[in-house]
Amino acid sequence: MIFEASRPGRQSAAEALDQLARRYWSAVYAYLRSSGRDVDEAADLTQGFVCDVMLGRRLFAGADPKRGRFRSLLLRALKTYIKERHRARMRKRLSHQGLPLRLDPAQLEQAEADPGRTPEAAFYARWSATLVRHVLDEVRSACLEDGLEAHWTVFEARVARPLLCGERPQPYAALVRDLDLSDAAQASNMMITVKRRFARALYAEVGRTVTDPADVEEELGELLRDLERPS
Amino acid sequence: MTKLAGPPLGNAFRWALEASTDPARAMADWLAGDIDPARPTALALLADPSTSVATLRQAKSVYKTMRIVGETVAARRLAARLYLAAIAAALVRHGERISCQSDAALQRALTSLLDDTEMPDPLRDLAGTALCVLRERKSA
Repeated sequence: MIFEASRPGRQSAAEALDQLARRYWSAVYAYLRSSGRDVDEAADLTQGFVCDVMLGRRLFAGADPKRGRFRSLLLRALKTYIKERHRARMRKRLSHQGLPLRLDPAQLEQAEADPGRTPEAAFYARWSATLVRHVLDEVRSACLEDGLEAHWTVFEARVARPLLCGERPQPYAALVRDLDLSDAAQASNMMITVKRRFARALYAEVGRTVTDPADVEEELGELLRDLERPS
Repeated sequence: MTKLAGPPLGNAFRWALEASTDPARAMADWLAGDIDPARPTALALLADPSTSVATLRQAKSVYKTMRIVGETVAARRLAARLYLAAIAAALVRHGERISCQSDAALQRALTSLLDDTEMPDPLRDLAGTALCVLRERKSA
């Protein structure tokens, strides 16, 4: 995806940029909120950055895709953009009518950073959380498409909801009864099938944000560390 | 997007990293951790002398299923070995036979686990000891 996004003039590049912007704007917003900006200013800057820099394709202009990873490139570009905006704040702001990215209050509320994090930590933590959430959504869709609804239900009840919502894992006995399975062993094997799918999808998604496939494992390790880092 | 409310995600999803190097072993370990989070690998679960016979029955059951539905040949093969290791552990640690297989079938299977150099030594040792137990019971 990053490779595609760095090839200006191609339709696939525009689509790749659009996908990246829609997926990761919340990391930009988290950075801006954590750096002390209020909701309105952070939302305004997020929209401006996404439209002017990411979708305006200036983000990749002159950037060497081999230098650093996409999220680092994005953060550098955001810092530059903030400086530019600061210098130009007396100038008339560009009109953002008809923006491809519209942020409503509910989305902004959900994207709020944990208080006390540094702006950089907030950016990386939100980026990583967004990536994990996106992968979960992708795996869920793939399971439903492949007729693995029951597999997904077991994974959701035993893994996803406990991890994401702090719920207790649903007992296997209840899952076996509700899903009409033969036994707990079948249910647990369904769970690991989806776990494996999740791991594969996570690798693939991280692979889309690095230019060298050899960097995937290291990048994934860093992403997980970002999620663990205390505020 | 959902506001995340659970424990730190990084640690929670660290298991995903395990799948890159040896997917079959990762899946077997996930099953072990699901049975007993305090023993999060198949080796820890099956080789620990304090693992209860009820837990070993559970392990036998999940690996028996994985032996059939495992995603790859490697996963099914590993599951077959771990299934045997659970039976061996119950026999050696608790003196209980948790399999309906005949003596001859069990001896053949345990011998193949004993001879499998790709399996961890503690599990191969379990198979060897289980073979001795079977022989002793036969001669008694």
